[in-house]
Amino acid sequence: MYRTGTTIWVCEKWSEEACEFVRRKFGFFDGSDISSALLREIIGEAEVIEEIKGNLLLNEGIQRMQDMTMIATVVSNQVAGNPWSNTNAYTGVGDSNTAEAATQTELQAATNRFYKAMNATYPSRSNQTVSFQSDFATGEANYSWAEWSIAAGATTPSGAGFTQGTTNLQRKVAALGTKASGTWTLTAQVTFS
Amino acid sequence: MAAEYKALTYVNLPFLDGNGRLYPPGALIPHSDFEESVELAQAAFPEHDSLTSAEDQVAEMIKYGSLSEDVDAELHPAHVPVDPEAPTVYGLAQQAKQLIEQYQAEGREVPQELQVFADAIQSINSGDVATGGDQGV
Repeated sequence: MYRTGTTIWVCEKWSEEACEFVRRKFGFFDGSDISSALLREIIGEAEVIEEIKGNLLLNEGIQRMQDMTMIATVVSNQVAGNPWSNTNAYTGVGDSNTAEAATQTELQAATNRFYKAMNATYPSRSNQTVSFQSDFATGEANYSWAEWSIAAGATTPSGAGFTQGTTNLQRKVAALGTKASGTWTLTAQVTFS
Repeated sequence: MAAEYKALTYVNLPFLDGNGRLYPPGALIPHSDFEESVELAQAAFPEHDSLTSAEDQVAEMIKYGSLSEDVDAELHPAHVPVDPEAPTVYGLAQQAKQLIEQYQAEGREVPQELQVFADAIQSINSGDVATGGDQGV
């Protein structure tokens, strides 16, 4: 294998019923967002957990990493606001089945795509694996999950997320199912070795 | 519609071979592989009514320089190996500065073109910081 920066994508799916149980337990408003942290504490493990391996590193993501870490002549990008940090990294999901190409600079879905900010403490590193994680709450990204990515930066606000990713590290196309409600949590474990 | 296309970058056709099939830059991709990928996507998402067809995927990827119908087409610049000894703008500007110092030390007039070129790298450094450059090449 090459050009992968091996990635394992883990999607944890909590149903709307699980979210509703937490809402009633704490007296939250109907339809309020329930985080994976709360679901883990009250419900426990997600009802469904899917794992998919692989991704294609995108040129713009590789170049951003190089600009951030290993160039002598600073012409652009080597600035504090540009890394895949907790405040600047986003997990994006969309419904396009278009093939992955390294020159792509965005999820390929025309309208059904959504970027969500990192959960607290993510991204995190253990040995050579960096993990990114975002929660997609009950009203978010309710369509077929056919593609996903990790972006550094996002624009065009929509609800609690965004619809455009700025600089995408990689893109993966596969079938993660169709979200209609509940909380789905997407975790990307990227290993460089 | 061609029978096959040249990959000008890394292309991964999802769903083939279970989890996608990777084509490196320069590889030829049969059109039938795109069609098979879409058929497998339809099987994976039977309720998805707006999957992108093989024809539309190919057209989009040709439009953005990921594929070509021309088997002799140049690869995307990001995948063309760089000669580490090849001159760079920065290196040439440094040489120009050294030449200017030499001219000045010898009391000779510095050609205007040389001075402009030597100054150019300073303009790049000062004017391009924190702007653009984040959409790939």
